[in-house]
Amino acid sequence: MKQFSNYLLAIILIFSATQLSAQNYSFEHLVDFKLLDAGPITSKNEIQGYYLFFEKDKKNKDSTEFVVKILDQNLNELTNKEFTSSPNTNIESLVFNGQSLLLKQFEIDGQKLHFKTQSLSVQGELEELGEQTVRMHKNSRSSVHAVQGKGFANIYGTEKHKAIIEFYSDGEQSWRYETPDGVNWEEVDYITTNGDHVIFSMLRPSSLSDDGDYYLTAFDYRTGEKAFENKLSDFGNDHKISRGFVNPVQEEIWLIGDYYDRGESENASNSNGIFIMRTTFNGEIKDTDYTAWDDRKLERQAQQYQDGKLKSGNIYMHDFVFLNTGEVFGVGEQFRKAFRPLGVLETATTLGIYGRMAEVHIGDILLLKFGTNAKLVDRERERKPGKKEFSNTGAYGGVFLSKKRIGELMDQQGAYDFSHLSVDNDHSSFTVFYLEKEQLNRQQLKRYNRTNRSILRTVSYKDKQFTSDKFYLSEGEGAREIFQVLPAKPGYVVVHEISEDYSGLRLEKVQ
Amino acid sequence: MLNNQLFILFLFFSVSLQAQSPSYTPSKSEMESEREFEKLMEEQLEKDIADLQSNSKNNRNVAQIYSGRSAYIINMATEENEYIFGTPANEYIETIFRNLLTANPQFDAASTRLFLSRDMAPNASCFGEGTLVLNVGLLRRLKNESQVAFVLAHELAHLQNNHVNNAIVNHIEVRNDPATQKEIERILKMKYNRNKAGLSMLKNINYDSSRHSRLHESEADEIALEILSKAGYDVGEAVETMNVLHKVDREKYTKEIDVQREFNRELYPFQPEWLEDDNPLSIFFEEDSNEKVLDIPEDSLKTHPKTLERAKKIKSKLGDYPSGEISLQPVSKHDEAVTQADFDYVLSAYHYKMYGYAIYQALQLKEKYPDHPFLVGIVGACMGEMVEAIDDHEQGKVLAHTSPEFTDNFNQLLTFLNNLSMKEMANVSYQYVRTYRESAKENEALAYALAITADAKGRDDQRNNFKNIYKNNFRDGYFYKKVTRI
Repeated sequence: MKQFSNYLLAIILIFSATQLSAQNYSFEHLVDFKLLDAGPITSKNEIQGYYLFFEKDKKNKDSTEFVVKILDQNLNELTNKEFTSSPNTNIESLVFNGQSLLLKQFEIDGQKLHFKTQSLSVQGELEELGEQTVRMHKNSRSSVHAVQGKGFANIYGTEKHKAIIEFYSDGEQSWRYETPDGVNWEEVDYITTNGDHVIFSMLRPSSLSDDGDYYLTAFDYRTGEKAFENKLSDFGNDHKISRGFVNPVQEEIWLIGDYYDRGESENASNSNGIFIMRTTFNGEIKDTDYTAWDDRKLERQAQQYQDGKLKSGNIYMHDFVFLNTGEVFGVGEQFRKAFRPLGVLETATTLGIYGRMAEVHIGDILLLKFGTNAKLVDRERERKPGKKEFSNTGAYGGVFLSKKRIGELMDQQGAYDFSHLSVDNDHSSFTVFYLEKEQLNRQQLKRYNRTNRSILRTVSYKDKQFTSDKFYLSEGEGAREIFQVLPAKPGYVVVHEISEDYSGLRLEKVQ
Repeated sequence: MLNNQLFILFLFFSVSLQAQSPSYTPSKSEMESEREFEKLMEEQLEKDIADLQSNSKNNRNVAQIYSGRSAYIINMATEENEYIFGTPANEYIETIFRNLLTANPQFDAASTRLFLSRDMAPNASCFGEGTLVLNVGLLRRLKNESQVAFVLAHELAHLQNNHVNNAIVNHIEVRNDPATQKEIERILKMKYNRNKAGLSMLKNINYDSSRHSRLHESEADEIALEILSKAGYDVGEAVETMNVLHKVDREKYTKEIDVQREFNRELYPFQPEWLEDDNPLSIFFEEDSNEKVLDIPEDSLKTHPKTLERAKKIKSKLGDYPSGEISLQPVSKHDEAVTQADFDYVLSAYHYKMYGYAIYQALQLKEKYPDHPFLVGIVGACMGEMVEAIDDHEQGKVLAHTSPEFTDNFNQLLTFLNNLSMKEMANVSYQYVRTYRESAKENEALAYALAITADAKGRDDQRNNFKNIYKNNFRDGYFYKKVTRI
C-alpha cells in the first residue's frame, strides 16, 4: 500500500538501468561513494569491531569529504562520522582501549608524511589530538597503540632518527617523550602496560657497537615520568630484537629476534638462529634461549645451509601465542632470497637503474612450539603447494639488503601469505589464517573450466590437536569472488564477498 | 453410561486439541494454468502498449518498462515460487476480491487478478496492469474481513485511477526531459562536489515522486472507501486498518522463548556456554533508547505519522457511507486464513533462508501450538540447512548475528545458534527432531527435517528411511525437490 510507489520506483530504476542507459543518462551513477579501506578495531589483541573508510565527495583540489563507519564485532553499524581532510588522506589505524577510540590518519605529500590523530567519542564526535609532519626516510616508523584502560601511545620517528612518544588520555595529550639531545638515534616499540606503567623497548646507540643497545623502559602513564629503564644486555650488534610479546600466563615479556656471530652486524650478515629473551615487567632478565637454524626441530631445507648458517633462507616470526596450558607457539613463515636471472638483463638494458637482481621466494608456514622456558620443543609445518615470488624489495631487488631487513620490508608491504592469528578469549586455543594460491596445471584447469583459486587456509590448535579448514576465495570468472579477508572475533573470519547473488561483509565460522 | 461420558469427554478433548493445533500444509507454489496466465499477461501488455498511441521515444521507453514488468510478474508467479496457491487463505482473499469486483463493475474482472505473496513485508501492492499482490506479512496482521477488503480496495483504487502507469510515464518524462539529461551530464562531469549535486538531484526527484505518491495514497484511500462500501463492508475498519499499520513494526508474537529448555535433550544436554556472548564495542556506544524491534523485512510500512494522518482523513469521510458488515464470510474463515498466514510467514523466513528468524518465529508459534509437527520440522530443517551452510562457509548468509536492534530474546537465540559448531549444530538438530520421529508421516516439514538432520549427523540408514517416508507420503510436497537431493 503506502510503500508501493517506492517499490515501483525500484522496479523502474532496475529496468531503466539495464535497458535504457545505452541511449540515455540514467540516475544510477549520480552518487558514488568509494570504499577506500576497511580494517579491524582491536583492543588487547582482540577484535572489537571494524571501520569502513569511504570517500564521500571531493570538495576542491585541497579537500575531500570522508566518512568513517564503525561496526561492532558482529558487523552491526554503531556510528558513522563525516570529516573533511586532504584528498590523499588514509587511515593508518583505528584502535580501542576499552574506553575510547583513537583514529590515526596519514597523508603522503611528496617526501613528507603528515599524521593526524583524533579521538572518536561515544557520540561519534571527532576531536583532534595532534598533527605531525615528518620527512620520509628509510627507517620511517609510525604506530599507534591502545593502552588498555589508560590511553593511547602514538609513536613515530623523525627524519633525524629521533623517536617521539605522544601519550593521549581523556581526549588530550597528557605527556610527550622525545629522544634526548646527545642521543644520535633511537627506535621505540610499544610492549605492554602493567599497573601504572606503560612499557616500551628502546634501541639506541651503543658505546661498543654500531648497531646499538636495547632497553626496556617504563613510563608512568599519568605523568610520563620514567619509572625505570633496564639495559637488556650488552650483546649489542650480535642480537637484533624484532618483536616483543607479553606472556600473560607467566606475566613475562618475551623479546624475540635473530642472533649473529660476535662482531657481525645484522645489516651485513646472515643470522645463526633466533633467540628469545624473557624478562619481568620490570625489565629484569630471567633467561635467554637460543635456537640455531640447524636445530633438527627447525628442519630447514638443506640447501639453505652453509656451515651452520642460513645461506639464503630465513624465518620471519609473525606472532606468538601464549596458551593457558603453558604452551607457547610462534607463527613463522619461511622466505628465501633468490637470484633473479632476468635482473641481469634488466640491469644491462636500463644502465643498472631498474634491474632487480634478487627476488624472494615465500615458503611454508611454521608453527614453532616452545616450552615455558622458551626452548623450542616441536614444530608443525604447513606446506604450501608452491613458492610465491616477491620482487618489490627495493633498489636492485634488495640484493644488498640482509635477509632480516628484507623480511621486515616484506611485512611492511603485506607480501607474506600469513594473514592473522586469532586467540580464544580464555587463551585455550588459537587459529592461524594464511592465504594460498591453488597450483593446478593447465590440463586440470581446462578440465575444471576455471582459473586457479585463492584459498584462505586455517590451522587451529585446540585440546592439543591441530585441525585445518579452507575457504575458497575465488572460483574463476563469473563465480564467487571474495576479495578481502579480515580478522574477526575468535572462531570467525570476516569475508567481503562480491558475487552475483551476494555482496557484502559477513562473518564466517572457522571449523 | 460412564463410557459414554468418557467418550464425550475424549471427543471434546480431541476437538479442543484440534482447534489448538491447526493442520498446515505448505503450498507447493505451482500455478494451475501457467500458459493461460502467460497468454493473459501478453494480451494485457499488447493492450497497454497500444494505449500509449504514439511511437515517441518516451513511449518506447515506457513500453520497455511495461514489458519488463510483465516478464517480472510472470517470473515471480511461475519460476520464482514467490506466490502461494490453492490454500484456504487463497480462497478467503479471492472471495473478498471477487466481492469487491462484483460490486464495482468499473473493473474488468477477467483481467484483474490477485496473488498471495510469500513476502514477509507487511505490504500489498498494485502492479498497474491488473495484478494485485497481498503479502502474508500483512495478511497475518489484519483483524477481520473488512480490513482485508480495505487493503484490496485501496490497491484496486490505484488501478482504477491508473496511478502506477501514470507514475511510470511521469518518471520517463522527467528522466528523458532534455533539461534533466543535461543536468545529469553536467553532474557526471563535475570534478568536485559531484555526489552532493547528485544527491541533491535525486532528492528533488524523490521529493516530487513522494509528493505525487502522497497525493495518490490519499486519493486511493478515498476511492477505497467507496469500493468497500459498495461491497457491503464496514468502512469504519479502514481507520482500524491504519491503526494496525501504525503498530506493524512491533512483532506480532512476543513470548519469551526459553532457549535452554527448548533445545535441551537428555542424550545431548544443553551447554551453558552456548549462550555466552560479549560485545564490548557495542557497550562503548550509547544504546538507542528507541523500542527494540526485530528484523522485519524491508519495505515495511514505517510511516507512522503518515498512517495516523491517513487514519484521520479517512475518519473525516466515514459519514458519507452507510455502515456495513465487518464480515461477509464466517469469521472462522478469517481466523483460518490468518492462522495459515502465520504458518506461511514462518515458511517464508525459511524460504528466503533467514534461518535464525524462521526458528524464532516457529518457536513463537510453538508457544501457541505446542509440539506442532510443522513448527518442529521448520526448526529442524533450518538447523539441518545450517550444518551445510557452515560446511560451505556460508552460514553468514543465512544466519544473522546479534544486534542492538534486536530484542534480547531474539539475540539470545542468535547467540545460541551462532555459538554451535558444525558438529554441535548437527547433534542438537538431530536430537531436537528425533523426539518427534513418530509423527514423521503426519507432516512433510518434520519428515524433511528428520531426513536432513539424520544426514547431517551421518546416520545414513535413518536419512534413507525418512527420505522414503517423505517420498511415499508427500509426493507433491514443498520439500520434495530438496529431499531428493539429500
